[in-house]
Amino acid sequence: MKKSLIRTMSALVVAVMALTSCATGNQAPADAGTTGGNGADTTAPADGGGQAASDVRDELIFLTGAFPVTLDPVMMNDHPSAQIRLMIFETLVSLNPRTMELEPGLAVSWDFEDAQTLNMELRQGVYFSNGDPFTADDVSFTIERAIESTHTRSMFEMIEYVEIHDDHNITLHLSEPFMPILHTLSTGQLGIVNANVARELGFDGFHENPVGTGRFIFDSQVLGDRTVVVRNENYWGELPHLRQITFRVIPEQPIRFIEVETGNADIGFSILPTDVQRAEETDSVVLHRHLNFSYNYIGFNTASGPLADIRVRQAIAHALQLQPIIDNAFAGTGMPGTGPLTTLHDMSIATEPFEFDLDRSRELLAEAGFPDGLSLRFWTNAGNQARADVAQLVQSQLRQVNIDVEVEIIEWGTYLEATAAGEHDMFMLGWISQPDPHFGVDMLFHSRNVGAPGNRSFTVNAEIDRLIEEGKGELDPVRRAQIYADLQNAIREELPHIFLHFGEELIVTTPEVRGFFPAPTGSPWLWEVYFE
Amino acid sequence: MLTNKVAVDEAPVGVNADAKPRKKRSQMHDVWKRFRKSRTAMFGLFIIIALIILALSAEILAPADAINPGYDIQDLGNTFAPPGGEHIFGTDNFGRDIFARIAHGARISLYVGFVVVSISMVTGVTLGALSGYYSGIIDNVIMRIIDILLAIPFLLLAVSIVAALGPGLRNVMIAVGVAGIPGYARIVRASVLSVREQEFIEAARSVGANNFRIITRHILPNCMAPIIVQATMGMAGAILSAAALSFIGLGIQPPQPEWGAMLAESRRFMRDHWHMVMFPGVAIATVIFGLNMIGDGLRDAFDPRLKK
Amino acid sequence: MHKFILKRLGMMLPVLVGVMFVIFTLTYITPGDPVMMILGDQAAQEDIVNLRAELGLDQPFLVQFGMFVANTMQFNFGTSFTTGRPVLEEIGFRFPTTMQLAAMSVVISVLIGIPLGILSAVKQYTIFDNGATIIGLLGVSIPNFWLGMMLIILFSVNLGWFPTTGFETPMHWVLPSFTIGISSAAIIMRMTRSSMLEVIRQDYIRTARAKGQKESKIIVSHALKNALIPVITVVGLQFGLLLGGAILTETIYAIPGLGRFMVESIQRRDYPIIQGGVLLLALVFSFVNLLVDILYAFVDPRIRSQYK
Repeated sequence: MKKSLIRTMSALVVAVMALTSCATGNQAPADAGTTGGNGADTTAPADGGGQAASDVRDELIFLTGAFPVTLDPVMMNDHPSAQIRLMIFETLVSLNPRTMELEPGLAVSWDFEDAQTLNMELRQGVYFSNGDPFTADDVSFTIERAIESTHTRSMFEMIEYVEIHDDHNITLHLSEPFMPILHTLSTGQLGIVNANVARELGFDGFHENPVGTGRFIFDSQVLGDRTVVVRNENYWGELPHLRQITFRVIPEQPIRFIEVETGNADIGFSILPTDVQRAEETDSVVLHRHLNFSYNYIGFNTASGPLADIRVRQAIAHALQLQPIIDNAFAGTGMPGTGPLTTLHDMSIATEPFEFDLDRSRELLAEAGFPDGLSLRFWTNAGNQARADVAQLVQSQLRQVNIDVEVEIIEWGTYLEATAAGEHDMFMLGWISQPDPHFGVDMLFHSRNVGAPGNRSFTVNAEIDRLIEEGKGELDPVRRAQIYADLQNAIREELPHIFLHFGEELIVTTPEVRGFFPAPTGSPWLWEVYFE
Repeated sequence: MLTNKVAVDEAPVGVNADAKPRKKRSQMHDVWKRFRKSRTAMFGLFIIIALIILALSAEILAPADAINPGYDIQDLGNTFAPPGGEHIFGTDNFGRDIFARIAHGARISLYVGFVVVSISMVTGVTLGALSGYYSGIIDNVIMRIIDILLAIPFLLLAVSIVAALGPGLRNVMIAVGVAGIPGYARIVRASVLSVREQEFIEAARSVGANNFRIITRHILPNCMAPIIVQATMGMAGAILSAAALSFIGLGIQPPQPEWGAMLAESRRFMRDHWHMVMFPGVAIATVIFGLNMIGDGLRDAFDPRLKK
Repeated sequence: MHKFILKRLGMMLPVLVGVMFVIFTLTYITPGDPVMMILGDQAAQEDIVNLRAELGLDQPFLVQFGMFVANTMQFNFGTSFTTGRPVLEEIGFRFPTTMQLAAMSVVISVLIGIPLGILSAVKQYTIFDNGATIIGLLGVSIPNFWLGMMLIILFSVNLGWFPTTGFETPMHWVLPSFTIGISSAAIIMRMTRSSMLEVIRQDYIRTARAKGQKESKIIVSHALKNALIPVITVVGLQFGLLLGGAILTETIYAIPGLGRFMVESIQRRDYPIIQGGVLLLALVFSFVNLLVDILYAFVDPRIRSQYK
């Protein structure tokens, strides 16, 4: 009896395991016709020539991890919101994700009168999706609105005012010399909104009727599940291939992968690094990868506790081997960090690495007054497995120098508040930057931004502050590059972070998807996508 | 007066309607005699004893090295090794021996189960006994508190408690323990209600026993059956709850090898490295299986009428 | 009967106020500033102070709680801190989805649990009984999220029988309902079994047998009705568990329900959503159990008489 019980039980378990683990992953993609969205099944758009290819799919399903918090550009800036806003709104200047070059957007040309004055000529013949013409008033209103919003104020408050010459000529007056202004104008939060509608609806209502000039028009939302945008048939430029894009929410990364693998969706955003190998081996998915602007770091509390002593920070830097951490926690994707600015920034330099040297590390600890080692708390947030993995790897590595790391995985809201208040020893966060180097250093290292804004290592260093200020106002590119090189070295000396990892976009699509590029900004240009 | 509900859930199988204040030892002896006869129950007991031995000998089976605890000896050159050979359960994503983690995890998981059940049981039994014994306003207030706890979905309550108190083993156990209180309270109250009016209680009262003595010496012993059954089931529930919290990321802190956390963390490897999810899964299933078998056996043993 | 229902309704009120108090207290003591979540990391100190005043978050605890209760009494649940939409819109949209999921899970667990439980009891100690017990225990011991992933890999990826995610068609509901329903099915099965065993041994069943009635008729017409009374109660209590289980299941199957949304809202410190949502869930739970009690009182006149 006992034996048969055991046998039955183990047989059951083995059977279930066998059935589930022999996943071949070669399930034929469900037929394209039924999966192409479930909105109104209208055939090719009415206008646009008679030769509409009727059997080519023009509806795309894009999977993200969360529901967009708001479609209002100046409110929250979470990833899903940014991705959808890029479809609906256009910016004055447009950042091409393939070339990383700034291109004309709603502004056709611009020139700097001086470091604080920027003249821009706006595009003519552009209409909002509600039929209103696009004019200088919309630009001025959009910028004022962005400065009014508490979410975006600090990003844009250097714009003192917008001088309107006529409907299509404006001058931006800056309160200080600010070279990254063109990149600032290309950020999604400055997507130009229709002034009439936004004025009328205010901050409370605009997100429900987001009117922009973009290639797509907001169509509908199912709360918590999907957002649908449809092609703007009156778009001023080349019409996108796709007639409709559905942004669906699939919280679990492995499930996003499965949905693309089985042909139920076309693009799965951000898969797990540990699924990269499977993606490469699976015929029914195509993996798109590209280094992106995410910088993952291990932060130190430089203001209080044992890590306020730079020797302890150095000791840790000398005791850590980054490559094995990257290979394990990030499954080898991306690359080990070389400094505070990812290699995609054109002024990024590789700072001198801290040599792996356990003896030196122990020496430094002894000098700092911890000859017998010490105990530190390493915080990271719940829901990010890679960070939890890093924490455990760091914990294991630091045992070598007798540093006892206590890993604590903390609920997100508590984590943000506690790290902003400086209650931590070590912590882990990521920073997603933009091409201009200013955006990679200002929030993280300027003493003005200590705490919640972004400087959670509590770095207060006059030299770093000075170089950040100088860098943003310098017109001459050569001198500017030098300033940023000095700055990166100064940050490396101060060592508020272990420059752990530069991230990589990992996106899967079905083989039928063409023209897709995994934008390093995290917001791909989906209007380039078409089906074979 | 409303909560007959649970009285009917559990009382018919547990409370012996014609229970007499027997000599304790002989009662336990009878129970054990009947328990021993049940093969499934003995099998459950065997499983749990084996797991306890595994937990106690974890340090011997999987000893620490010079600097690492036995459950966290990483070997990044030997990750995802399949079961067999040097690592009978294989290795995980950090190259740690899964058997070592299961063995050390037995300690944590059983500990979590035990503490959680203690928290829920002590609080729940106290509340339930007071409520059932005194009735009236005390009963009403206590039962409304229990209703409140019941009405908030357990996992939401646990997540809120962990969010409020912070992470860590202790707070997870508190969160799961608090959420388990209503079950005991309602069962005990129902049992007390059915015992309270019986003659032997009257008798005790008439010889001048005070309320405390009556509750602890006369009433509670007669409610032991459903309490023990609930406790064995509760330990199983506690381990699963810790796993659920780990899924949300609020469970036991790494690198502690709690089984539920191991399962939650390794779910991303489910398709590629089945052994990583299988062993913690089987471990959880085994302990729950064992505890339930014991629970069943005890329930039957406490209630002679159920025997053939 | 009316009096009974009224009295039961009356008891819901203090429970709901208690739920409000518990959840309000938990949100109050939880670290993490909702104002920062609303205004963003970059907000200036004066904006933070102003908004905090505007939302009344600078008031003493009891004043804030009083305002919350007063607003709730007027069905004013406020707007979400993060999305700016009215709480009723956010919750109202997701709620039916979760209810549907929970209801379908109940149906599945009842359809599986009760017949198996009856069969187990009738064929006590046979291979069938033992087999059902083992499968049932496995059902209880498998964590929701684990089962969910397994079912997806097996039935969606490998066999292609069911869609993986979504909630539009009945086919979409099969796997999620099973994922939640299985563990409840096991509990209901075990409850039905022991309840049936209890009833089968009663005198009136013996009498029926003695009168030479067919066994199947005895089971169906005499035993079942009485045995199901406690089972109904368990189903009612399970409903609360199912709402909790929905949290994990909704995440795995990407169902935009209330459970997942509540956990997200706790993480975002979206107090109005948390408070409104928990209150709604508590209300539903209380109502379901009120229905159970009514049903129960209807079946068993003894209970009704207590309220005369």
